[in-house]
Amino acid sequence: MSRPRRLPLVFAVPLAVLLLVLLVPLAVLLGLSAGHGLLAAFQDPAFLASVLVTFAGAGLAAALAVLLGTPSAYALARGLLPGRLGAVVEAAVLAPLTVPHLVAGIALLLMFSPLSPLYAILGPVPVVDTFLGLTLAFFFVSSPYFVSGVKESVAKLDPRLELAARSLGAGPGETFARVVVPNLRGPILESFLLTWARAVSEFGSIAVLAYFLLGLPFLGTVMPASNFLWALYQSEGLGVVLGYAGAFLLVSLIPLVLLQMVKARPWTSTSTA
Amino acid sequence: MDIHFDGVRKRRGAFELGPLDLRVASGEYLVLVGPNGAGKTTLLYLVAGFLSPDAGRLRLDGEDAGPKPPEAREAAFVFAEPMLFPHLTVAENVGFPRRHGSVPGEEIDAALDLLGIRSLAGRRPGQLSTGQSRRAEIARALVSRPRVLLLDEPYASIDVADRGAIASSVRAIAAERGITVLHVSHQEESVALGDAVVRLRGGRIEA
Repeated sequence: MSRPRRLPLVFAVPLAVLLLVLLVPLAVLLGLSAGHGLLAAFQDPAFLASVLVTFAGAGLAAALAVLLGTPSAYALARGLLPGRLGAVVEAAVLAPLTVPHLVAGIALLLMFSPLSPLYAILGPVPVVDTFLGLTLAFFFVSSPYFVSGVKESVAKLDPRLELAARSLGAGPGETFARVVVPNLRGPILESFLLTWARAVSEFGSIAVLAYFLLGLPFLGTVMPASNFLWALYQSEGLGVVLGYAGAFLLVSLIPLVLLQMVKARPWTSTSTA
Repeated sequence: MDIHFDGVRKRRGAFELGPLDLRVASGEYLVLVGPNGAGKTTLLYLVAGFLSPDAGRLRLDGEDAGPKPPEAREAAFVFAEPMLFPHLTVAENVGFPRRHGSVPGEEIDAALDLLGIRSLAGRRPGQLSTGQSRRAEIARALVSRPRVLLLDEPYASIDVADRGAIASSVRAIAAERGITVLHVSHQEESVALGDAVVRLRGGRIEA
């Protein structure tokens, strides 16, 4: 019988501290919320509608990231852009990771405002306090996570697989669709879930661009979940928001749980190098 | 397909291939031998269109190959390491080429039979030995109905007992279909397969 491996202290201590810092606040919140309206929050139609609209908008943004981000990540990973343009474009694609999200919201708002040089084109697009605006803000702040994750996976895929396909008569598009994408199914799904999770947790940009969502079909006027909690916290205080915060924390773990399930699944190897 | 290297040069890092003047007639089976780093694979990459010459001209059937992307060259490549698509079964890999439309099932079966891997048709590449993968790759290359077959050490990991039979079969099919073959090998026994032999050293053809 093999002895269980012991984690050396040099790794155990930092890991324990990290877990304490990350998990204790959430555990405290969940514990306290259990006695302060956690179950009631799940029965509040306004809260449930806010969660639904948040998950829907975040899911749509993540799906958009899959559509646009997969070929973009491939182009960046394979160096298909000439010269230094690749590095510049990659920096631009990842820029939203460093832009404060409140600033991102203001930037998006301005882009569609009469102050924008693009107003003639973009002005009629309804983004302020709409589901479209919510999705756009989610996409802006979360899509870099998708591109970054998939780009790393493309780099691990042996490029000779693509050369083999090309020599068998497949053009670049067909090679991408029939060889690259199928071998990235796992990483694409994982990055989709991570992007979805990141978007669900967004607050700063949507507080500016989509504080209320006006007149949604079936739901009427709805606030995205983060905004719902913020408004409640501002108006009613900590005692009232506690149950809702615990409930939102629990539902926001759904993408994370799905991500762990996907990671546990044996996908086709993406690396043959 | 007639292949003509006319003063072709290609630099890759510190190594330079050429200047290379070489003509391979349509339907000819050329064996390229030489030590590691001689430029054999670089030469195949140039024909496949994976690399472009820095200088000189490569002509395919008399036309400058420069503007032709790999998929338009009708040159199937068999790599030195197996490059089967991991997400497809052996039969799906062999049926991958669609240059002439979807490959009929009987054509896939015939290729699998030729390489002696019919019983492995439903397996994934991860369930194959290196030798079995090589056979599947050669079957896939033949199914693409190439006019040029670029073989980079294709039989290195196939059992010695089977190597001769498979090599002879591929040789016979190439001759029957008029496929031009460029076969890179370290094994002197491969020399006997060729209509001609070119020995490369340090990026140049040995006299």
